[in-house]
Amino acid sequence: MASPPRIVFTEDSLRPKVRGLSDKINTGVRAIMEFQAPQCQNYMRENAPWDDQTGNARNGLFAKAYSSGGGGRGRDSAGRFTSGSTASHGIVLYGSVPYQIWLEVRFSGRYAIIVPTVERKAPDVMRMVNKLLARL
Amino acid sequence: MDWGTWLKSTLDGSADVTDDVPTEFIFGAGAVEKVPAHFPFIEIKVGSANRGPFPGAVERVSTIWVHDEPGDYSLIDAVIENVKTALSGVQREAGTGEEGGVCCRWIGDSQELADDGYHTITRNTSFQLNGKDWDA
Repeated sequence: MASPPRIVFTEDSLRPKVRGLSDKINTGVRAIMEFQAPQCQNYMRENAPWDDQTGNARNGLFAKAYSSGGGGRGRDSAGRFTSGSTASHGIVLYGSVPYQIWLEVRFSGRYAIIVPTVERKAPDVMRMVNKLLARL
Repeated sequence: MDWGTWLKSTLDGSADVTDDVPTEFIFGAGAVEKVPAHFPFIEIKVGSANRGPFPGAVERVSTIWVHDEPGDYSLIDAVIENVKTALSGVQREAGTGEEGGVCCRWIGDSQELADDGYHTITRNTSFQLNGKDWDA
């Protein structure tokens, strides 16, 4: 009688790839944030709905990408794989003139640009992140 | 019908909302020409359209601003809770008359703010709207 079919794994290709996944995700998401930050800044400066007096408010609109955490990956004292700390990525939109808050709030936000930019650009950012995750 | 009109008619239809804010003091965006004679009052803003979750649909963010005379935010807080009750989870089936499908999901509330244009204290609450692009 023939022995039942069996599969013998002689090489572990899965675990190294899984271990490298978080690095790939963090690198990709960081690149997306760095790509989208100037897009957000340009959108704010082009679409700020006020008439310029000095140009300070418009030129004082910035978008900065940031990334933090994600380190510490390795093995614990029992030799088990650890994924490290949770990484955080984002884009901060801000205005550098002291009266920016009043532009955002005055007349129910008639002159607001930061929150409308978040509403407009956040779906673009998330679409790119979803495409990245679908590829990995 | 547009999103702003739909939001106003939905709030007009809520007795809890209109007990504090009569319908003539629930305004669309830009409809407040001078500071209203009644406090609190509501101003409805509807953001620009983003691609929706399925073909033919768009996604917009609406911000409902509730204003009151400077002092205590408790009446604003109460109105915001009633607005959230009136709008959160509102869903209409697709293809029913002019409205088509509508899905309204609460996103979040602002902190306590002051509007130096209307000389009021204010907070806002935001909703994500999905449905037919009436405003296109």
